[in-house]
Amino acid sequence: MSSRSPHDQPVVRAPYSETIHFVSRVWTGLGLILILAIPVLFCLRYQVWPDGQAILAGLLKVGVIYLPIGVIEAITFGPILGGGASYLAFITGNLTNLKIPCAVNALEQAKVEQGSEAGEILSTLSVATSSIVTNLILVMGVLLLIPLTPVLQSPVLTPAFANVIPALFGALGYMFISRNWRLSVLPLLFILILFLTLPLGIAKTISGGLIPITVLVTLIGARVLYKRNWV
Amino acid sequence: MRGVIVLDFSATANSTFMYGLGALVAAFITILSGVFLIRAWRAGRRQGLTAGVMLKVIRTSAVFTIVPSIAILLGLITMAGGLGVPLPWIRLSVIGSVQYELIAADSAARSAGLPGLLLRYMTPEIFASVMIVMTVCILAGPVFNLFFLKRYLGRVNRLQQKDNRWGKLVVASLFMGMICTFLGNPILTVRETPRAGWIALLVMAIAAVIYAGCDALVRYGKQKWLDGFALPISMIAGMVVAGLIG
Repeated sequence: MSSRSPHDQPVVRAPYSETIHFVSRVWTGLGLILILAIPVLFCLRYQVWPDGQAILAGLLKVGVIYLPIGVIEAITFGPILGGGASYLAFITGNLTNLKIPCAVNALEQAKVEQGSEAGEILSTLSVATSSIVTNLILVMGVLLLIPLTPVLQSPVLTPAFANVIPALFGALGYMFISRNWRLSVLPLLFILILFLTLPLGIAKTISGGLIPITVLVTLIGARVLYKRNWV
Repeated sequence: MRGVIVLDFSATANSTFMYGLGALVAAFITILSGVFLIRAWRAGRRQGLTAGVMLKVIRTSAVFTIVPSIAILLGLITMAGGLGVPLPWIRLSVIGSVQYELIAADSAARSAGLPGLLLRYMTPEIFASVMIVMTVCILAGPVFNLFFLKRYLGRVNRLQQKDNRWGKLVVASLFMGMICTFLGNPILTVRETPRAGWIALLVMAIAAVIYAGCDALVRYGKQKWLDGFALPISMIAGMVVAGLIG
């Protein structure tokens, strides 16, 4: 504990949600440099020059879809996670399958509202903890890869782990829909109709980038419900 | 050239150098997460949050993370066949996710003329190209955050202050939209491979029912200890059923 003389003025700090941006931007910048350095270091170490045509073709194929999705994800998930947690989650990855449900569940258990100052702080604590645990598990997995591979690929565990996402969203679905079922009616109907009526190939292609569209549908429904005082 | 001759690409993809890069990334992520954890903890104390509440969040998050992380590790094993171990380790430690990495790597490998993501056909040039495509295509999110997140969240905050009820509803809608999309995904699986799709729907239903049971026990049965474990328990229950019938 620091001792403060009675004559000292108390230090007035800006809220966490404001101060966290500067330090987060520095770390995001460092993270981006590191991420970009990996292929560069590989090329330097092995003295190879990447195939420009393959990169261009790959960028056109993958980038056209995933670059806009990245921006839309940041816009969609930023308000859910709050400042610090957003920066951290977008560097450490695994957003929809881990970080966002983890943070939302943690706030739920702590009975703290998303978007509040305390919510932003706890959301960051949650994402940071989750990142450390995932990192530890990946390091242990890499170290023990040979003995672990047959266990994780056993006939019992393979289908179990193939269903992590349905299990996660089944439980989360109950958690949120039971509390605000009116909000879920329109998006659920939208997804149901879309996935049942569209040709399978088209439905599969668009499913990867569908979250922002479903969010938009949910927002439209929410606005109607709000105007009518139904939520 | 310094006389580096690459004969067996598997040896390059799994070289000490590549593992070193993986270790560097893992160390960075640990330090980064540690810094955010400490800053958030201190901010929490200033905000008046008790150590008990924050420790509960840390415990809940750690427990929750274990099962999805093992699934990520399984994704790493899947990708190792095409890219060796260190690159999937690196890619799954920063920004990416299994679904994205597999699609990006496979597309980049096919664009380079390979029949698929197969280590035995890989050359250092193609491997470097795959690395670059996987890396660049995932950068939009953090780049957006770097330049625009502060301003964007400021606007969202102003909206919440202006009309708190609508502001809260907007945030709830963002998450609800995401949940509903994932709830619909097994329908596509049913259409493509019915058995796997029905199993996914069953897993979803079981996880929901078990969660509802845990929730009822916490609320009405006074089983407070279940509070932080309801989600992992329901997930594991659903996955056990998938394992038994899958």
